[in-house]
Amino acid sequence: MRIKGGYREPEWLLAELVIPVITLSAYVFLYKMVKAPPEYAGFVIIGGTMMAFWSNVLWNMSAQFYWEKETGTLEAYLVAPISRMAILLGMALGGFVNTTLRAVAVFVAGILIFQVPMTVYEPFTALLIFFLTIGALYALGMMFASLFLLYGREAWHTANLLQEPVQFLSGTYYPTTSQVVPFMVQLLSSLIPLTFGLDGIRKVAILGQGINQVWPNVIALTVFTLILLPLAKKALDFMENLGKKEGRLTLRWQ
Amino acid sequence: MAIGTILRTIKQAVWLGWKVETNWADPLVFAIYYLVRPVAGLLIVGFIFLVGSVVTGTVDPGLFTYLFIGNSFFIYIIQIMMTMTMLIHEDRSHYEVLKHIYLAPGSLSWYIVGRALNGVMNASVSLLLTLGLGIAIFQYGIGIQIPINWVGINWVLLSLTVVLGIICFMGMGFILCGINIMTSKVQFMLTEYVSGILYLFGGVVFLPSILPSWGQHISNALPVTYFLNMARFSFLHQSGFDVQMNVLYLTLTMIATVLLGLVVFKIAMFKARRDGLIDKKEEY
Amino acid sequence: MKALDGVSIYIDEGEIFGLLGPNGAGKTTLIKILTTLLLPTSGAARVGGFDVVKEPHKVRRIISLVSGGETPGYGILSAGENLWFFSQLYGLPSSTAKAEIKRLIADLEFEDYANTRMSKLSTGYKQRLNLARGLLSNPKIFFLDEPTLGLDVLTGRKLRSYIVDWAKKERKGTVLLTTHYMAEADEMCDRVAIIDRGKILACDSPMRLKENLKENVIMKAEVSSVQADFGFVDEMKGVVGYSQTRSIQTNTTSLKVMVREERTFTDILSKLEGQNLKVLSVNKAEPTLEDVYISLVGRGFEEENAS
Repeated sequence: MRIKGGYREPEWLLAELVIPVITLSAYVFLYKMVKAPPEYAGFVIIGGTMMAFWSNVLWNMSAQFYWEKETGTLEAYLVAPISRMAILLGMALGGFVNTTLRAVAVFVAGILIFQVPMTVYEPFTALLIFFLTIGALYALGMMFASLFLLYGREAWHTANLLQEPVQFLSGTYYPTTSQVVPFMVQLLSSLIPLTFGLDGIRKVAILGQGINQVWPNVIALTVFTLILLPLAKKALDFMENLGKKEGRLTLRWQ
Repeated sequence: MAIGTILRTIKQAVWLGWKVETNWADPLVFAIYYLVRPVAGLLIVGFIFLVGSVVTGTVDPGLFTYLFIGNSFFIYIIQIMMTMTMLIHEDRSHYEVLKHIYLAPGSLSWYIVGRALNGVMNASVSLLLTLGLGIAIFQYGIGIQIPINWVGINWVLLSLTVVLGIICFMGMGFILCGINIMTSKVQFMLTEYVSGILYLFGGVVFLPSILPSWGQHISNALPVTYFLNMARFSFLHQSGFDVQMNVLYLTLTMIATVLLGLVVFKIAMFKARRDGLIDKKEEY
Repeated sequence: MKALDGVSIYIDEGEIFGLLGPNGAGKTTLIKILTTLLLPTSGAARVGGFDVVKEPHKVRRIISLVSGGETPGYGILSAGENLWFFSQLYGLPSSTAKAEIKRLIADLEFEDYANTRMSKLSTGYKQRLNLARGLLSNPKIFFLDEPTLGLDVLTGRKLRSYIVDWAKKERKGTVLLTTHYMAEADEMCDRVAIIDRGKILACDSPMRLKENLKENVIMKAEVSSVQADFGFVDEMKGVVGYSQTRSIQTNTTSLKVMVREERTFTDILSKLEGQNLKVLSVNKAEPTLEDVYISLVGRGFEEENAS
């Protein structure tokens, strides 16, 4: 459904390429204004690329049940004999295809437009970090989906809230390891899987590093996934039961 | 239409916007929405600036202040345009009131103006909080000098700038409203597209001179550029800044934008009435 | 595709005029044109003497629209706050607005819910609120598009009676009502236009429309199967039209048929028995507006909606 939906609305593809490139360009020019080295433009491009997946997690997975509630199809999903996590995973994987296309397009456009130097000695390590990051993000997305199931529009606002703060804390466009970043910010950023994913991909794709340097990132991402997945299941079940008791599950536009 | 009807429509729209926006969540969540997102946005660009500057060894407070004021005042653009776009979608599909507002004697246009004014109020609150927190974090927390003489702000010029800017951005908002009315799809992306272009070319967080020459020409044609220039001058009183020229350019681009907005909106309403879109439910 | 085809009607001031037809007949399209929400592709329409195309603002000042099946309003606001908002949009001075809102809430009997958020109201109370909103501006011409759609019997009856009182006694306003409920049109309207596939098939008072059927006989039979097939009735001579209603709860189907002579109905009964269908009851029926429709179209509303 997600893949078909994506191709039925082709203008979304254009919008999902042009808008990210525009935003990224602003940050690249900002680095240029302060005369930062060219690899910082690469950090921005990679950050913007990964944000595509975070947005996919937030809006196509976490908010999925909210949209189903709004369009009146949530009841059909809830009575179907399939697990909620399977529904979310299916939606997310469908969104993953569209998101990957968008991310690749943004990445290629960004690299070409700003002529970012790329040094990749270990492509498999890069892919490993990437897929571990995706796994951890999707697990996080499932946890948020439970909030959406219950809190409707407040949760929608919460998802909106999670865009810029997550971009800031995870160092989407700058390395959180920089001396300028306060310790508290670095501490908080280490609670977000995206931070480790971004850091790892930057090191491998831009700075030419390998598994010897990024193994802590691999371990951190694996631990995140192993903790978040069972938590997500518990949270979904708990919220669904609570919602049914309070009659809020299918109440539209509360 | 009588002035009384117009004012009443605007007043009710402002009241409605305030009620609908504040009541969706706890006051705490509402406050965070108008504080956290803008502050986080400022922190992102602020840290991009600082991280990039530290690598080269030079942190220019003047450039940082340029970014600081630009990013903060850009809130008006985002808030006004987002409010005006979303209200078409919400009032038509969710609340199903758009056709009744359209049929009421007070015109739909003035209602939209009223809702946009509520967006202005929210943006003003957001701006003050962002400026305050921004100073606290960057100047007192991290130690970056932000050379603003808060007592010496040129309030007259700043007020004029904000008023002209608001009128201009409402003109842009009417263009987006018009497009949203004409289509039966939710045009979330359109607002982001437009605000993204303004953010890139409007001299918001970096000097337009950094752009390629074609980008600078675009920058020179945008009202946002002059709006932010004048806002900065109100705070910083830079020497060599041509106030009159910037006021003139802002006024001219404002008039052009408002005229374009009204034309697009009028055409859109005609097409909406022709095609039965005023009460058409949208597709997701 | 033409939503309306050659529609020409005139409604007198103070009249309650009904537009009766199945789904997709063009009723809502006509209302949308008359209330200036939709431009006609050809022809002309005047409401209260004003042209709907050239003078829409003047039209809007004297009309109001209430549609059934939708609940316009802000869920987060209370019923009273929603009415207040619209009263101000309609230009009512504050003191007048407050008095009117209080009166309408009392008349429509939802005082207990005036301070309740609209999102928490039941469908019935939401429609009362909707009706109150429509009456706030004290319109000269009141457009009602399926106003009792989806309401329970009691609430529907209450609203209908209120509208008739408003039109005939209180305001002496003009009402154009669209509906696909026969009884509603019959009960409320001074005149009814029957519309199907964009065309007006007949237009007169309900009594005269039914009187025109006196030459036909209307019979009803109930058979003991929800799957009974009455397709054979189409082939029979002497049948003006028929409609059927199936009831899954009782596993029965009711056949209502309009025939020119009673013996045609006897033939129908024989055929039913020939299909091993048990006939549970047979009676003669008084003509209704649906029968008027059947005589014009050949089928009932249900069949028309299904096709």
